[in-house]
Amino acid sequence: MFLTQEEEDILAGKRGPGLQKALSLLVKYGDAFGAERLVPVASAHVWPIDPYEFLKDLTEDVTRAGAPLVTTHPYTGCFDPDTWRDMGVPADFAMAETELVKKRSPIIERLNFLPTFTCLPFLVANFARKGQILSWMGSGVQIMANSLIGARAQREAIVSVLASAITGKTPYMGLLKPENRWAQIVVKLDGINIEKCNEADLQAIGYYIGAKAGDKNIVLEGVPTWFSFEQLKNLMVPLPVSGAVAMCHIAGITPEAPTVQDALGHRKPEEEIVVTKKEVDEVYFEYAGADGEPIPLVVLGCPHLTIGELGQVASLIEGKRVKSRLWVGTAEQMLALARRMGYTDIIERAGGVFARCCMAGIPFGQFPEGTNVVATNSIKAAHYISRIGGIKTIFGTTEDCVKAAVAGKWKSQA
Amino acid sequence: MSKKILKGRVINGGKAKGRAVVLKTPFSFIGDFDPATGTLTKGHPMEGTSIAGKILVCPTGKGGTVAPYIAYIAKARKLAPIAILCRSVDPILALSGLTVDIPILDRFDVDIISEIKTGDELEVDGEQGTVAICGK
Repeated sequence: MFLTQEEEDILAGKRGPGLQKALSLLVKYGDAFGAERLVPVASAHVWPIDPYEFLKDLTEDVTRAGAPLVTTHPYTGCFDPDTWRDMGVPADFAMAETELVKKRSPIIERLNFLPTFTCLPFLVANFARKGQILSWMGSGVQIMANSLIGARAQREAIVSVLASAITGKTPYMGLLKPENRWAQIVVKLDGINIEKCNEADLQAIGYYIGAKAGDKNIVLEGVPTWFSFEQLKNLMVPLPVSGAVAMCHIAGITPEAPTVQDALGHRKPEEEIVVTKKEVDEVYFEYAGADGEPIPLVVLGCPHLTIGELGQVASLIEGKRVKSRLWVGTAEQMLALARRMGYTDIIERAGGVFARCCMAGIPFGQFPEGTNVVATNSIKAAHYISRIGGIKTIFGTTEDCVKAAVAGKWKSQA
Repeated sequence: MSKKILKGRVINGGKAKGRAVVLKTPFSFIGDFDPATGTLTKGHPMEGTSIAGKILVCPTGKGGTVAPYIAYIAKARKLAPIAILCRSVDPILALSGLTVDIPILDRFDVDIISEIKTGDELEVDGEQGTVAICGK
């Protein structure tokens, strides 16, 4: 790829070993995908728990972040440095994690990464705009940045986003280029009244579509333009879980897609996917709970709950007391707002615990003893917890999950 | 037995020799793979199959962006695959391979998913961009 003199100097090690390693990783990665050059990023969103040696290597002699704004993702592995005791996480595991947090924090502070610890950085610290080039981890936030904001996020991962945060650059490729953003597949709903779909139905629809669409860009027909952020989030986040979709056009919502024809770039679609109630039911069946099944742990907040969703949980749980453990994932900044609204007190009084962790990645930590089933209102968490943790997961609405936490057991809707 | 040589595109160089595990579906280190055992997880069509020390052959990647970390911890435990061959690699699987610095090749002159069988002995040459099928 073409490199500027400054980039050549960095690659030759003239600006220190950390920048050299970070840039060399980006050049290798860009070369692999035919990128012709590097471009500046408007912001980066990075993992706060990179393996220490890896973080140390890439930041050696680096005094500040190259990206103008860097936010951090949640902790991964059922761990929050403040609330792990209340979460019931084994102490030896949590103490070891705490030590690692302490070890990494001087580096993170030196580089001026913002301690947002959330998977939805645009809700608390980073107002991304149309056309901006982002280097963000988190498959959910990538698809939302592309599809709701019209910013440009490539499907990339923890190593490249860290390298971009350090160097301020990313290879110009894939979804960063306008010509690669058109929809290739048209998705239609048949016999599904999307306006009546609850948060779980929307996720089940997204989960089915993701598995069918693979890594293609899609345009989803029939979604009302008045849909809320939460409804759109529920539709989109599962797409890169069962599959690898990172661009989901919705006519009238996606800035690049006033119409379906615009989304397609006025070309013929390669394929059409039709979703009926049968496919949605199959997703529910895969993650169904048995009536009366004991539920040791209920997990909400994957992605992190918004202020509206925290209000919903508070209204469902007010005056009740949980029998199961109830973990609620949200951003610390959102929690401050929830506290002002009184939601935090209601949820905590009911026995819920807040955590700034990635609820899909909790099996990378150690569960409280006896956790053999997890109920969740997130298909993404259900997918990853069952696969990574080998633990049975049950997927349902927020109301089903709160009721299960209060009763200590699942109540089948069938 | 004569060797059959396949020609592909190099994403990351290096050499590897070992047995193939061929997956029919897109793969992710997060979700499909258990870094504690080096095997494919529950729910995967090939659940329980070890890819530790093997040459992973799959159509492409998918899934969450934490994947390279899983590859990294598997490698530290010597439970990572030793090379990745794809029809067409996605950025996240490519970055997973780059993180643990194993050969990654894709876009072969033949369909590797039907050409290579699980258990085949392969020689991956990430300098020449070739894969030799040496037999069962």
